[in-house]
Order: sequence, then C-alpha cells, then structure tokens
Amino acid sequence: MEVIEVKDRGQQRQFLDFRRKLYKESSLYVDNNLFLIQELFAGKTSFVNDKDIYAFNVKDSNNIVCQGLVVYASDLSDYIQLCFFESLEGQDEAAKLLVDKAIEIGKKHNCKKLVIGLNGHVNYGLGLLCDHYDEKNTFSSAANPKFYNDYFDKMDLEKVYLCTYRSVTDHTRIERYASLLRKIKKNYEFRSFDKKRFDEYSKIYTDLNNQAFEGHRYYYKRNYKEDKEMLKELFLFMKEDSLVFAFKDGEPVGFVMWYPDYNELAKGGEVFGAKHFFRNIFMGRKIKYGKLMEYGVLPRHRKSGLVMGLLDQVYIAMQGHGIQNLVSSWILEENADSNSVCQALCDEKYKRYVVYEKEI
Amino acid sequence: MLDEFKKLMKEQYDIDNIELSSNFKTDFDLSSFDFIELICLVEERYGIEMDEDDYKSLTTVEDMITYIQEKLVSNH
Repeated sequence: MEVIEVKDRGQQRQFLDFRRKLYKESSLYVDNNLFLIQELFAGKTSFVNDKDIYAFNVKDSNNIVCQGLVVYASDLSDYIQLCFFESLEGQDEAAKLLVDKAIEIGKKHNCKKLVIGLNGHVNYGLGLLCDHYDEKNTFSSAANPKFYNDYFDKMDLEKVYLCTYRSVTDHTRIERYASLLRKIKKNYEFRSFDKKRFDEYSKIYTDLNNQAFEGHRYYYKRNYKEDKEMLKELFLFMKEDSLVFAFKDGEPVGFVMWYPDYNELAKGGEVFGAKHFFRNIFMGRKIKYGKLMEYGVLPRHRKSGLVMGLLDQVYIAMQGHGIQNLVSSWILEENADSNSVCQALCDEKYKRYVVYEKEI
Repeated sequence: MLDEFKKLMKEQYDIDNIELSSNFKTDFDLSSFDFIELICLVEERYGIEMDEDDYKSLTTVEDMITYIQEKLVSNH
C-alpha cells in the first residue's frame, strides 16, 4: 500500500474518476464538490493563491482505495487540513497512512494541529456527517458513510461537533417577535444583492464576513477576488433575494444568505451540475426546502435582535419562491448564540457533523 | 405598575406567578430573543426607548419595573 501524490493530469483524472465511481455506486449522496476540486487542480480559482495544496491517492495493488487533499493556508497557519476525504470500506490502514501524510506535511509547515473535515475554508464545507447517513445531503453539505467516522474514531482524535436544524416555515414562529420586527424595520434597511452592482455588493459581502466571523473557529479572512468568484458561481442559479444585507444609516451591518436546496433536483450518486438546475426552470420541479446558509451581524449590532430581521427577510423570500420548509447549514455546537436563534425558529435539530483535530 | 406588567407577561408568554423577584431567565426560561421581544413590547406599551447597554442589568421583574418608571419620569 502506498500514498502517491497527484502530480500530473493522468493522476488527477484517476483521483476524480475514483470519486465519481464512489458516489455513483453508493447512490446515496449528491457530489457538490467535484467541480471545485477540478478547479483546484487546474489552478483556475484564486483560492489556490497563498495556499499549498497537495492531493493524494492511496493505492493498494495499484488500485485507489482512499484519497484526499491536504491544504496549508498561510492565514490559518496553525492548522494542516485534510479535506475531501473519500474511501472504500475496510481501509483503516489506508486512512491512517493518509492522515500520517497530512501530519508529515503539517510538521514541515510548522503547524500545531491537524484538522480533518475543513475543506480549505469554512465557505467550502466543514465537518463530516455523523448521523442520518441514509439521507441525501442538502446542497453543499457533507456526505459520507459511517465507516469514514469509524476510521477517525480509532485514531485518538479530538472532536468538534456541529449541528443543523430544520423547520416548516409557517411564519408563526417569527411572528411571535412582531414588536421586535417592527423596531428592526424602523431602524434598519434591508437590500437584496444587486447583480448590476456586482463588485460593490460582493465587496460588502466580503467585508461583513470578515468582520462578523473574526475569531470564529476555523475562519480566516477572505479576499475580494475569492468571494467574487464564489458569488459569480452561486449567482448562476441563485436569485438576488438569496443574499440580503442590512444597512443602518447607509452602512452595511449584517447579511444573510439562503438558497433553495438544489440537491432536491438531483439523484443520489450524481454530480450536481447545470442540468439539474434546468430541471427546476424547465420542468417546474418544485423545491421543498430552503437552506439557510449563513448570516452575520457586526459585533456592535448584535444585541439589537437584528438577526431576527434578517431571518424574516429569508422567510419572506422563501415564501415568494413557494418554499415551505427550512433547513440550516452547520452551526458549531459551542456557538450558543447561533443555536439559540435556531432553537427559537426551528422545529427540531437535524443532522450532526464532526470535525476531527489532533495536535502534531 | 406590577399588575400591568403581569398582564403583559400573561398576554405574551402565558406566564402566571409573577413576583418582583422573579428572574426572566431562571424563573421564566426566556430566551435572549424572547427577552428582546419583551423589551420591544415594553417600549411600545409605555412609549419609552430602552438603551441596549441597559439590557444586561434587567434580570428581574423589579429591575424592569424600576427601569420603566425611571424612563417615564425622565420623559416628562
């Protein structure tokens, strides 16, 4: 068994083919990350700047049994990241070899910790699934069988848990805060993303993210170019009301992003792509769930209840699109504030995820 | 004022057994959002504006009522 670094196009093709086959044969999950990995290989995204990215296939008798990317980001220099891990079943040894390789690279970069489950940046995914394994993943969320967790559970790693929530958006939950919403609407202005002013609004998004998430576990600052690229791709199918900003006296102070769960348009085993989006437009296939992706409020505005105003905008937008239900993206279980928001508005906790860490 | 406040709490949260010493979090289990909603209701009901920096000190019913009374006096 050996760990082989992916260095040429042929090996990249093998890497991607293994992943495609794995998803196709399991028929459970939708692959939302293949295109991102392709872009990383091709160097076609500004995300690769200031990062050292290594891809590895672990082979047994010349067959790939396990793979992943190892990423070192200079702005998150304490961590070496093992990302986009995929494997056949029964490959404990291969998984351990890959983890050891990541640690070896981490030591070369003087990292203090290995993290497994962070996909380069929190914007590209955080956490391995650790329950509800038999359900299709929501758009852009982690998807893996239980045996991935079994591999890492045997390796004496620390765990950081994340959770999600889901709900039926009958709006009565948020209407409970009618007085608060009246006050918020009086004091703040809400505006959707304006594609005609793409650069300007994209910069607002980056600045708000960087300020709102400063100090958030695993978060590191993004630059304008990275987020503009990401938003250009998202807005291929997202509508402008999927990204809403709050302004106070003309200054941006908060934002919220949501979108329909596009994975409902795809079957398990498929790589999500444009054809799925066209199913929505041309075949009128309805999407049942909206996914609350992220929200952020500048620290000085956090006691005002502004987040409730932002979520009210999400509900209004969802109802405008005929979407009845809400599912959230991940929230760190240690984040009491965000959990209290979702507990106030959602029917139930939903999937749980885990990030593995090890001091090196 | 206590009777009026008790009525407000009953209407909004269906809470009985309200004493001056009652704590919003430990006795009524109000979440942070419920508490901010209560603040907004009080502002609307009494026509006052409450400073965000003061929220933390309003832990009991007595704290709240005293605060409301002080605000009403300063408004006049």
